[in-house]
Amino acid sequence: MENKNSTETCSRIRRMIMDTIVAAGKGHIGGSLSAVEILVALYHGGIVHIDAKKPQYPLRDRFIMSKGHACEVLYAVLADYGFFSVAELLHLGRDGSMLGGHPDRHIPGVEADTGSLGNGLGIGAGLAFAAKLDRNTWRTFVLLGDGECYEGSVWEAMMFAAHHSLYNLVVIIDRNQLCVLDRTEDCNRLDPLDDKLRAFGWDVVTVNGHNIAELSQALSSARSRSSGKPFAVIANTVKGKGISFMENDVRWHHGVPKGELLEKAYCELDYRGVL
Amino acid sequence: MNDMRDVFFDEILNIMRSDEHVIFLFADMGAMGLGQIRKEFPLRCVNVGIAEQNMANVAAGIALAGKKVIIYSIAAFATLRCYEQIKISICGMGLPVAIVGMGPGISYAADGPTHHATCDVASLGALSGMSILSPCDESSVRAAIREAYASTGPVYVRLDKGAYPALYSCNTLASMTQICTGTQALIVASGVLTHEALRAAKHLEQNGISVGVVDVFRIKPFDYVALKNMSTGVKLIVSIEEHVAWGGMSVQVAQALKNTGIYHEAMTLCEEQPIGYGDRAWYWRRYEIDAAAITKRILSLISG
Repeated sequence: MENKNSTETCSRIRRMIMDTIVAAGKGHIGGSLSAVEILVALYHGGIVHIDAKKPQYPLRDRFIMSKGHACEVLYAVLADYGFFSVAELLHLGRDGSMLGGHPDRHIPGVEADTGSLGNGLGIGAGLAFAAKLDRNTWRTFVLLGDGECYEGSVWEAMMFAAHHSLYNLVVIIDRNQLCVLDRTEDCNRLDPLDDKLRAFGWDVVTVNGHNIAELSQALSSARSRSSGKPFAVIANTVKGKGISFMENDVRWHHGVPKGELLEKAYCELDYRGVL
Repeated sequence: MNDMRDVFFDEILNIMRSDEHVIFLFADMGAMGLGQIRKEFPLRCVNVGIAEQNMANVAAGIALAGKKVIIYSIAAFATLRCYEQIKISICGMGLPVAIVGMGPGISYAADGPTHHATCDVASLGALSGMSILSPCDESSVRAAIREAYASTGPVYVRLDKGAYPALYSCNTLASMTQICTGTQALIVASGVLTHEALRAAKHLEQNGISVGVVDVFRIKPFDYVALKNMSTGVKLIVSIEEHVAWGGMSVQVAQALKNTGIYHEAMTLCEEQPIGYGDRAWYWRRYEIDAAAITKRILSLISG
């Protein structure tokens, strides 16, 4: 993906996230902003082979947003990619709207219901297992939050995927270092996360999760590996990325800036708000 | 008579032989009959280990890819250990996954409360789109597995162990069946307790009291109309179940009988955690749900 384009796309997605959250009056902004480049690399960067005009095409790649609370970034990317109208974003959570606070499969482009953390990887492992069994070439991608990795079910799925050599399964961990109230390393240590994954039988690379080129290179290599192992990309990110007062601040796990802060946020996004 | 577990595995084997899109997952739990399935289908029959949450999520993923999945473990763990995964990943997405729980109720008796599944109907019955089947003999086990396989949504099968006398001879069953008729009272039972109900009916007949027995095969969706029709002319209905009172089948029986004027007595387990260990019959005596207790209760209700 060309650099200028990708930078513009990420800026646009951040503005859409902001608009969505401002319109809804709530939302998980920190974890949405940390995952922007990851989703843009996957979708706009052409890593996930999918056609918005044929969302149910059987041989499409699957992407599962296991950290479903950060749905605003997923919705913005799906809308921008053409799965549904961008205007739909402004209706999130309104009576009878298509979009809610956690993704579900009724939304075009959403592959699985998520929001209760720790389940997306197991579902993804099931998809990858089925594809491998049928000798299909489509891939499954799962985005995990780092705070989500406290769930035991994540590690059950890690073991399963490695044992069954699910080479067609790719997990990206949004390693923004923050859970809801604390730094992950102050809550329950996750590091060394890469060594843990390797010990579980995965190929692992660590990248700057805000660098599209690094992400694209790592994710592209997922298809060319020959180890037979599932593949994990640890994406080092900044929670709240792009809005200075939100960055690395646990207070912005969710919430909507108001007044001067909103002005400052829009100013930093170089944008005046409302899609 | 064959052990119902072996009948179950035999039927799964038949289905897997005829449909290559059926996957069987189990959480390190089996019986004699499982061996042949593993031998014939090493890729489609997978021991996921003692990891029920992952088993339910993986099943959902496989089903999302268009396949039918059967997951199998001890009922207590196949239901509550992965309850949220069943709720969200399977029921939430309306996926065709059959959850087969081995040993519902107090089937695991002396293994103690960790292994008892005495609130499985209440918990799984509360989930969106979930059907609950409760077979009581060889034919009804086959019928349950066939129905679960044919279903487009989630199904929970309460599978018991042991061999029981045949009550059915076909592999397609109605939601409930009147096994024997009686004019004074009707016992509504399900699963292996249907055999206790039949023993009670026989004892009562010897005492000159005519009692019918209804076996409920499909607990959810509960067939209120069928039960109401079968209750016509009867003044007393006793429902019996190896389940706590809160949210069990008896609640559905009461719903069916609403405004009929028929007196309904629910014989269930109490709410307390069982204390002490014994075999299943010991628990049945203790909680007064065996044939003797049913007989006694109906005698006292009829004779006043």
